[in-house]
Amino acid sequence: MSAARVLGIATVAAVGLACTPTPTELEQERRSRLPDSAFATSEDPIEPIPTRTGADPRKVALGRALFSDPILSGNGSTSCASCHVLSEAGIVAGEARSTHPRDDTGPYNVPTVFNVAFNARFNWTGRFATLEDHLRALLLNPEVMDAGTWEELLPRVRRKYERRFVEAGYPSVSEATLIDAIVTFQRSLVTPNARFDRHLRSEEVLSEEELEGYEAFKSVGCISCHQGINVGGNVFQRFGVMEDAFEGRTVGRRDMGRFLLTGRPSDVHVFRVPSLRNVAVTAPYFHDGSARTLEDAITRMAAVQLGYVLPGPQVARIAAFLRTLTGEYEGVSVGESRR
Amino acid sequence: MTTLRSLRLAWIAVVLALIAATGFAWLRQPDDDEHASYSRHLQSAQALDTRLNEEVAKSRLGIVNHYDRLVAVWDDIAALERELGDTPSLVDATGRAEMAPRLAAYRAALRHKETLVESFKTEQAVLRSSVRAFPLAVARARDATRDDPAAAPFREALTQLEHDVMLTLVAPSRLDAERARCALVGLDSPERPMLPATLSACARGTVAGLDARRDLVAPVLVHAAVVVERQPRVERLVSSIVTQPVRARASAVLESYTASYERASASSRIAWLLVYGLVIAALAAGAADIIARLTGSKRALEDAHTRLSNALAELRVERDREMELAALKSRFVAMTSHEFRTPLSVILSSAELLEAYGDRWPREKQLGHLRRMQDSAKGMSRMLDGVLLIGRAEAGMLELTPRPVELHPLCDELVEQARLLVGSERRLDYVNTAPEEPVWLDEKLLRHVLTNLLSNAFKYSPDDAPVTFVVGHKDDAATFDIKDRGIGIPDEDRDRLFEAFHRCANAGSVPGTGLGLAIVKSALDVHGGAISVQSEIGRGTHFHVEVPYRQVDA
Ligand code: HEC
Ligand code: HEC
Repeated sequence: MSAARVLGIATVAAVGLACTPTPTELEQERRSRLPDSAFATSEDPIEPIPTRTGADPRKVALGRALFSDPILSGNGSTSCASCHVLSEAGIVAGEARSTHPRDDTGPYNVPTVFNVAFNARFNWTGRFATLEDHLRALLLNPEVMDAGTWEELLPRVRRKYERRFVEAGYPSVSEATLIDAIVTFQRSLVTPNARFDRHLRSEEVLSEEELEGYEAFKSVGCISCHQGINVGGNVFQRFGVMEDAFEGRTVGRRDMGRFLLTGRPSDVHVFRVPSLRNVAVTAPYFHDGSARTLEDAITRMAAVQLGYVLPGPQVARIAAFLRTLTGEYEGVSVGESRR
Repeated sequence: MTTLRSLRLAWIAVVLALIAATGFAWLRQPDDDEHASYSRHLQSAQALDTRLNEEVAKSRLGIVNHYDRLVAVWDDIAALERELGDTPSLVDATGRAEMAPRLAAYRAALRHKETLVESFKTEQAVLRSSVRAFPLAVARARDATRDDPAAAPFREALTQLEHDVMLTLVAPSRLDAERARCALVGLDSPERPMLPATLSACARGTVAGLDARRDLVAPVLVHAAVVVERQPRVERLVSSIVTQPVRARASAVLESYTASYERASASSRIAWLLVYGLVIAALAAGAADIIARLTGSKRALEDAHTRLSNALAELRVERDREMELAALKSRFVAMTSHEFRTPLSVILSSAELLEAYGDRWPREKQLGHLRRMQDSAKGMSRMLDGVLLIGRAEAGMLELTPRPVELHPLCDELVEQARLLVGSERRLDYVNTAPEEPVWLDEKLLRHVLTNLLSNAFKYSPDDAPVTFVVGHKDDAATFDIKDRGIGIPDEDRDRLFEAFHRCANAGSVPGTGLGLAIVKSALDVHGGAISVQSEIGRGTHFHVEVPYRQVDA
């Protein structure tokens, strides 16, 4: 083997090692996103949200601007922020459903964009495995952003943002960089310092009721579905394990859940268990927004998922606990407007 | 020179082939980096599968009670799967064809495993919540009926059920599961006929007095059902997950990938061998080229050397000639001064004598001196003509102007002239067989040739020796043979016989300018003719001359 080749290979290998994340690196990176204790044999099924994201602030700023810029949409009037109002906990406060007129699956309750980074799958049915795939589909989806084609969208963005992309460290405006900027921003939308997280980190003492609520949440069995760092978001579950969740209501297409994707009878009414982070400020609840209050949601959950008729005080305790899951975004409690 | 060129061409061809082969080999060269990362991915695909199984087991055993880690491992697997989609470029068509179904099989196993894992998480979550909720529900029902003695069998049934259900968790044997299931659906079980009936009756609210307990029993039964039903399901799921042939299929992919890699690196080894071979060939050809060039330059050096020495020799000859010319000139000067002085002194002395004694001398004597002066002057002018002729000939200024000449009258006239000059007592045998019709010749030049040769023949032979003059023709040339029986030409003088002012060693006191034969030669050279001489000392000399007819194109 020639010396030049050996040298070449060595250089390439060195550069490659430096640049391409190996699976183990990916894993380490992911591990570092999760708190250390997640890898000890953990007693607590809920992990606190890390206080730092380590995202590039320039890209986050660019993504934020794009997130609330209607030029991404085909009609020039809709932005991501139209439905995901950051000052309203990442949803449109109080709105039960996405108001998009052409959504033929029946409008879904808008989920929050906060802490999406910790979800294993995206959307109620968990159709998307990555935020990139989700965004790519979303932008071109005529039901949502209706951006047209990439050939139409990119020049619009380029005209307005070319310089900012370069300033943010991107080579230019392209499909990949546009997606990356917005996704980077979405990943930065984490809400640490919830009172419960501070409790887990022994930084704060919760009230008696709140602690009892947590105990009930665990002992009743909510915890088996709503667990992990996002208190949900990582497992599929039928809505109505013990009882028919749609009793007395007409079942629409959108209520079919994952069945719409897989066509398997066992997937009827199966949804991604939603995250309960910031749940107190993201009413209404469920995929169809059919629960107006937290207490309502808890009661129904207990009944349909666990076969319990939860007594009122128990519901109140659990609600008290769930309220401790409201975190902070940029130092301000989620759902509390900066105004 | 041509071998050198072809060598160089071969060398260029080898270098081009080398470049091509290097390019080829480089292309064939398995990208080591790509190979390293791909085989690493294939290996971690197997390792991650093991980790996934581990996580499933931990989750199943309740060691870990959330799914984040399982999700994280799965995300890694999905990322890896995407990476494995880009088969390295080193894999050839055969390799691809071989790998494709294996990759597809690996993917299929993964897809299947993914659904299994999702189902596992779902079932496990439900099972876990029921496992938590069931004892609580039992305890609640038991507590609620604690004070009622009539509910003793009910409590006993609860305890039995709890025992059975828990047993399915701890030792999920078929029997226990079966029994519990029977109990739940209310079927008669040969082992425990009482319990299920009681409980299912309770559940249905058909047992008198137990109506109020319906709400207590329902959750117990629901959770018991979940545990009993889902426990084996989860168990099956776990075992399906663990036995999914993901690892084996990943290793099958690795196997055929490794085979392609081996092939690729083998073929690249061959390509590299070719490159090395060509390098050696190129070096050899280069070396040969250099050697050839060296020998070429040596030859060129030798060439230059010979050219130089030739030039040197020429120079030397030139110098010699120059020196000779110088000698010639000085001889010319000496000769001319000598040759001219004699007639001049004759003229001068005759003139002086005439001046001093002319009046007293008789007319006859006066005329004799005057005639001598005239002869000398004529001789000088002839000599001058000859010298000028030779000079013009040597300077290339003598021009050939052929005209139709009739050889008979011309030669007759020349013979007449000679006879007049030498006197009638000298014998001249003259034969002329030349064609009667005119031939193209330069008459003036021919006259120079023949008069000189004829006069020499007479000059250098005794008075009684005859001279022969034969005129003939041969092909397109006139031939002239002049023979005498005179003193002959010494051998040592042959070479320089036709040089101007050269006189033979035995010329002695015979008067002559040494220009005659030089004139002959010059004239013949201009005319393209030839002269040869045969001679023997004391016996005589024979000049043979050939003068080609110079037909001038119309
Ligand atoms: C018309 C209202 C609307 C607009 C505009 C909109 N979204 Fe959404 N978003 C929704 C709805 C409704 C869902 C749930 C859809 C589903 O589950 O099928 C959703 C889901 C999401 C999710 C998945 C959350 C999760 O946890 O699964 C993300 C992330 C998201 N949107 C980001 C964006 C971004 C980025 C934009 C702008 C490019 C955007 N949305 C624009 C209504 C909207
Ligand atoms: C078997 C799994 C499972 C269990 C156990 C479970 N949930 Fe849920 N939870 C779900 C699913 C699935 C949904 C989404 C249903 C839908 O959107 O249609 C959900 C939704 C919710 C929501 C609404 C979240 C939102 O943003 O819309 C709340 C609140 C909630 N659950 C609370 C609880 C509480 C409290 C318990 C315990 C009493 C509990 N859950 C037990 C699966 C479960």
